[in-house]
Amino acid sequence: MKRCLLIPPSSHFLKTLTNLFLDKYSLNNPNILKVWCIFPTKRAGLYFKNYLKEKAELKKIRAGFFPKVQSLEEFVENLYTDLTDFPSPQVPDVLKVFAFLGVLKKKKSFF
Amino acid sequence: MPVKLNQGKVSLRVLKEKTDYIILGEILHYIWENFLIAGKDFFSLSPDSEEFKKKVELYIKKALAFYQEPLPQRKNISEKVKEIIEKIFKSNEFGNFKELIKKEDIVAIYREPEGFFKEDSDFLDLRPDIIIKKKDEWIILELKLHKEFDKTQLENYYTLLKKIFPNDNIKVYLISFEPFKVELIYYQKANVDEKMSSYPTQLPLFKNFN
Repeated sequence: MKRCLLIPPSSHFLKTLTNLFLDKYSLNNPNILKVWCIFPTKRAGLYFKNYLKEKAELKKIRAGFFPKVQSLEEFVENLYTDLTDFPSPQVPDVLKVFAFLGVLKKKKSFF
Repeated sequence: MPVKLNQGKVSLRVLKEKTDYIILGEILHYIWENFLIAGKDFFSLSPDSEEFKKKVELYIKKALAFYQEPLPQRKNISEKVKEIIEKIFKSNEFGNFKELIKKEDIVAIYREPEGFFKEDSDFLDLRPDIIIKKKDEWIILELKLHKEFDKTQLENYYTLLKKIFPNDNIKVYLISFEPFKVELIYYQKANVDEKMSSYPTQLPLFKNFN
């Protein structure tokens, strides 16, 4: 299984990613709900969802599901709150990343 | 001459500030979702047991961690949430809810799944609170603090699943926390004739030629 894909800088990043994503997943299969797509910003995630909808229209898909699309900030915040027993709202984002890294370390098979 | 400022009153909604009721609803929502996806059957615990109290305390802390300081009403909200959850666990209606989420029938639980469907020329983006896949049906749960809200939201969720799985059983429930009520709003019965073609190996392409 390929774990890393290279998208050349000459191509439109999100549109290419959308095509690669839809080669593997189908929008009307509920398994897509188990896939998480993390983007650096909320805006990138929003555009990704729009491209998915554009593609759905081309493929004549009238209804479907999206994968879980989150910004890195939301992802780290959710992960920190879910994994820490006593999460604090005062903890800066940088420290929340450590909780995330701690989990990755425990699950080395992830890499 | 003094400067006179004429500033109109701006509603909390415009400023994106949340009222106590919104925060309370969001917290109950978060806790209920976590109860549902928790590995151990949390809903069978007695509300007087130590384990129950510890779990509720933990999830309230987690839910409140999403709200930045200053939030002076933190303690009041926490107490109110505990009170509502205890009331729910002791209510008669809670038995109906437990029946609905029997672990052995559940195949998958999807938390805040995002979906879309096309209506006329526009795409409608939707995010139901919980979708439960059971062996023989799909269940949508919409969680609300109180019962009053716009019903078209539920109709759209129902339409979404109906368009994706036209031949499956689909049920849409509204769960209101205060007072606790489980209400079946929409129900589609599986179309058994459509599911079972006249000849099991028949290709779907030719089914209309019968």
